[in-house]
Amino acid sequence: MTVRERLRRAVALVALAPALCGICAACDLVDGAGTYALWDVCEHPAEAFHFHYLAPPWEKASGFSAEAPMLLLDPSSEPSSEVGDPGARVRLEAFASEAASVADEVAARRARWAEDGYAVDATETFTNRAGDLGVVQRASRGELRVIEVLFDGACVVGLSLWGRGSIGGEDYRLLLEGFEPRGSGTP
Amino acid sequence: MEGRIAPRAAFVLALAMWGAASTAAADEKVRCPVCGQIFDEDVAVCPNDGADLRVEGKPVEGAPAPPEAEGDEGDEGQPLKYTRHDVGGERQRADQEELGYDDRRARFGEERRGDEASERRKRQRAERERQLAEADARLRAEFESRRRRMWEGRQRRADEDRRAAEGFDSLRRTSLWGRGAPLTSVGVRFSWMAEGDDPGLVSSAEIDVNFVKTKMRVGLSSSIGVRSLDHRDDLLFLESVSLGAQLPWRFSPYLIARAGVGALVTNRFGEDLAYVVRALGVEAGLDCHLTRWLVVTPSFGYAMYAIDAAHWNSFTARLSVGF
Repeated sequence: MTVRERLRRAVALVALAPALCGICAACDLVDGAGTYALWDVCEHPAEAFHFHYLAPPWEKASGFSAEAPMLLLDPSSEPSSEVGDPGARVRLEAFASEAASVADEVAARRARWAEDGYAVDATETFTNRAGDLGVVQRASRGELRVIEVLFDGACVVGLSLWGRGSIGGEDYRLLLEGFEPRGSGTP
Repeated sequence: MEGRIAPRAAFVLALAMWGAASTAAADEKVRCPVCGQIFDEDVAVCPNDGADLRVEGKPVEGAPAPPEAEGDEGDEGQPLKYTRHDVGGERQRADQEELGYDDRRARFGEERRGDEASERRKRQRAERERQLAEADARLRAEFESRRRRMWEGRQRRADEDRRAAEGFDSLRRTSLWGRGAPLTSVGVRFSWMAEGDDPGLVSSAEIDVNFVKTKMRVGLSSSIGVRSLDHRDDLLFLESVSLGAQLPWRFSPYLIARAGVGALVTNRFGEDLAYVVRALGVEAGLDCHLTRWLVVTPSFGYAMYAIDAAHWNSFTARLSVGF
């Protein structure tokens, strides 16, 4: 092999290296053993909260915004006559409230669900993965289920799951535990 | 008057010359050629070494008086000291018992050592040569036995290699892979893709097709596995190619690099999902050609699986049976 051929191969290899890096992407990989390694992160623009979601299967709803994110699971079904039914199997909403305290927000939301005919269970304490202490409340009406977690940070923030059928299980537990209030946020 | 005085004077002069000559003769000295000591002329034999001074003594004219020996000559064991121009230090007496015979004899000239010394020296030389010959023969015998043992060891190993090669050649001639067919094997592989605290053991069934060319090895592999987690099970499909080197023996060690792509099918939030999985790894194994129809291959390696931006580093272990 002549020097010219060697140089040509070296240049080709240098040119090929970025393409190989693009395939491999080993330089900026994260540890797959992390619980949320494959999940995306939704950050409130004012840092009121953030949470992890897995997309797919979660999809952003048409009215998605970073201030009031809404995600849908299996949005192919037709919307029912239910109030706020987006036509998905499960709807996820995260919000930052102007309520003075978590208790006020819980009371307001319980009243709302009760007004819609849901049977609201007793409120329980809830601890997320970061160790923040909040409350969780559940409501149901027929096959419809509601689970909400609320935290008191710089403001009251919450994550609400509404869906048909069961919305329990390990994945939903991870979803709720991944919701974290941030200290500096404002509604 | 003058006629009578002259003969008398001549007589007196002759008498004086004779007296002077006698005095000079009495003062003559001889040097022992062996020990170098100067003796008076009337000493016939050197007391140190027995040299005959009348024959071998070297006359010394105007020599200084011999140095006096330190100590009493009558004292036994007191070494006498001499001052020689060519030898310093103390000399031992020739009649001392500890001096060897040859040492004493060596002081004499060749012509005075006699046939006895020559014969004795010849006998000693012959004895030394005999001893040397014996030692040489012993060393040669030892070397020869060692060389023979090494040669026998080499022959034994060569025979073993030849028998193994014949067996391996026989296998090569009669087996499918030896006739050019790819070495096909079915096996199980274990690797890990952890999630949280769950180790995520992946148990895979694998079909390997390896094209073996003497020292080169190219393989295609298809695997299907189950990733076992506490709350769900995922399916892992992987197609990979491998390239490496091997030693073409009956028990063939090999080292390969493996790259693959596949899919991880999982169920999250009640929905079935498929992720594209990329895999890279290295693997070392041993093809054990037990019979012409049976090749058992244990192997170990390292694999990196990647999905999107997440990756898993895993140790892998594999056992396959081929034909």
